[in-house]
Amino acid sequence: MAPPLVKKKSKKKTKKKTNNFKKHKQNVTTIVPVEPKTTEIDWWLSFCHKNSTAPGYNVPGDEEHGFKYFFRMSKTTFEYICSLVREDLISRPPSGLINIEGRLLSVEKQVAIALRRLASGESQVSVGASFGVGQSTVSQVTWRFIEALEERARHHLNWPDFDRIQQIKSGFEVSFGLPNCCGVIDATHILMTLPAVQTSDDWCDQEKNYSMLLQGIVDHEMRFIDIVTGLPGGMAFSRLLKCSSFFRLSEKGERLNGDDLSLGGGDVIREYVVGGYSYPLLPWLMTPYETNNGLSDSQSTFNHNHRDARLHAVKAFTLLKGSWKILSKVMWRPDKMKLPSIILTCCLLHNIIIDCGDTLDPDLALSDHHDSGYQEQRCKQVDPSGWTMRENLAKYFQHVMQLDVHD
Amino acid sequence: MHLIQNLEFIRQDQTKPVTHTPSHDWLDRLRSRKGFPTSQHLDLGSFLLTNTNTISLHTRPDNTNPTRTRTHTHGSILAQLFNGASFIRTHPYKKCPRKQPHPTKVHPTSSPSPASSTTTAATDPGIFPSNITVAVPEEEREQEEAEAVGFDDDDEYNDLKGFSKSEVTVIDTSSSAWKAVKFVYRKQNIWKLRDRKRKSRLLAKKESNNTHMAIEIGFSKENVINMGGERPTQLV
Repeated sequence: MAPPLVKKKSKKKTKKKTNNFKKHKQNVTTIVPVEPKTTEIDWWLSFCHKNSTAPGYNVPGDEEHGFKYFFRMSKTTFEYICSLVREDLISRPPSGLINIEGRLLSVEKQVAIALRRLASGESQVSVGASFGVGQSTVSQVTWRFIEALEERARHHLNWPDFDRIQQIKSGFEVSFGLPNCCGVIDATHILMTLPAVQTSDDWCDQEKNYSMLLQGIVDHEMRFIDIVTGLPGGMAFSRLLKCSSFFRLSEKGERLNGDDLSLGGGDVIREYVVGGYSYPLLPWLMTPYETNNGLSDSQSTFNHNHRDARLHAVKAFTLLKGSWKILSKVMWRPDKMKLPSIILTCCLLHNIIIDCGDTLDPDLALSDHHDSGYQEQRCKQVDPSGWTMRENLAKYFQHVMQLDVHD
Repeated sequence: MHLIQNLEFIRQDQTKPVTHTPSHDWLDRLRSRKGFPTSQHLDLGSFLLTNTNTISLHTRPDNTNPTRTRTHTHGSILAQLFNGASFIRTHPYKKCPRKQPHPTKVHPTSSPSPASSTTTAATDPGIFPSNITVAVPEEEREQEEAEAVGFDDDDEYNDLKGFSKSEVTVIDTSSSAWKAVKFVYRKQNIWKLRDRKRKSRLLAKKESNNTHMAIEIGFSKENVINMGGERPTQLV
């Protein structure tokens, strides 16, 4: 912690600048020297030494795996993330992050603290103790990191361009036999407690928990290509979908508007995503057939492939919540206006790990379903064009089955 | 003060020789009304002592000191005699707590009582008690949902009467801004999402002026370089 003198000086500086340029404070750089490069290794050695034998941890022996155990990524990916946020983390440092010599915590240590907080979901006090810093430092560092990453890493979470969509469609066809499929949609509850004054039925979900929703569309490599979060847990998934820009764009034909796949006889399969029973059947959103009326072989095949694709999304959400445990633990009275940024950051980190070629550790996935304890709320809305589109997909599977018989 | 005066009066009254004069009629009437003997040679002291046991039944069981009990009893009788029962408390006084010892939880948005809330729910569709969940048939719910496609930001706000309102930060990666503060309106199963109203023109103008000023002065991240542990140098 900084001595009071340094604190005062820095506070004064920041305040003055804030008054002058309220809206452009992000452009104002407070001049504080950063810890020299040599300490970048020191923090890891010190952290490793302190925590590798701590009770409750099962840290792998070698350093590389040990690093991944704590931070969910390789050192290379870690360095990449540091490079993304470096500029933001050294500018405008709050006084709490300046040490006794007047130097700012190294960017690497700041990133490590924030990652550890998100990965472990442990309290700020515990995370602070593992790094030898205070609770308020963890709080400030984590929030600065989140703000920086959500600005600097946007390119890791966006709707794919034409070329990428072709890869995704090809991936879904190879892995799940679904032609022209662009993704799988699913949603999950992020649980929290709320102070009595903030409790509202809006945030109280079907299982009487307070929660915030996260809707994600996942590609064939378990990367999130679209997310919506921040809306209350009391909403049904179908309503959440309708509140999303993805829904609006798809309805207007500005999304999932690529080439159709012709089946002959005028039947076509357009681009679509698949989703569970919680979603309406729409021309661009395929839900499974209800099984209680008896299914034809082609419909059964469709349902089978559809289920495998949905499980793929379930796996992605399970890995997300398992790797970034802050999302799977019940958050204690979070700021509901800030929580969406935390959720987004975890999704960005999930994607960065995949984009950097790191493997998502399957052991980190939650042992249960990502939304365990929640019943699937069935949506009975059926759009006639969606029904026709699903029939066309069933016809496609019938055709494929006939080809298999002939072969 | 009144009490002391009354006690003094009694003491004087007891010491005075009782004579059968018309002035004592009122006292006799009072005595007889309260069940006291009205004879001329009345020994009030012995009368009170003999009646202690009967009267002490009204005292609290935890009041075990006999002397104290007696004193209280006498006081009580005297008070009853001259001032009525309400003036002096006969029992050790325990102050009633100002707050309820076990207050019942009242939800800020709920109606005052469960009974009234049920009635309200049944009669007034505008106010819905938050502690009651209504099972809406699926078809009806879907119909409501279909009617309430609430993401049209240009809709009027006057159709939101009876809706609860929550401010939320929505992150939507398919929208151009990603992050936006919105209002969620809810009435039972009807949800509507609205953008927060835009700032006034005056505010926008002020902000615009500030922007120009900052640009003119030239503070930005781009023109500051950091020299590794040294103080960063500003490039003008």
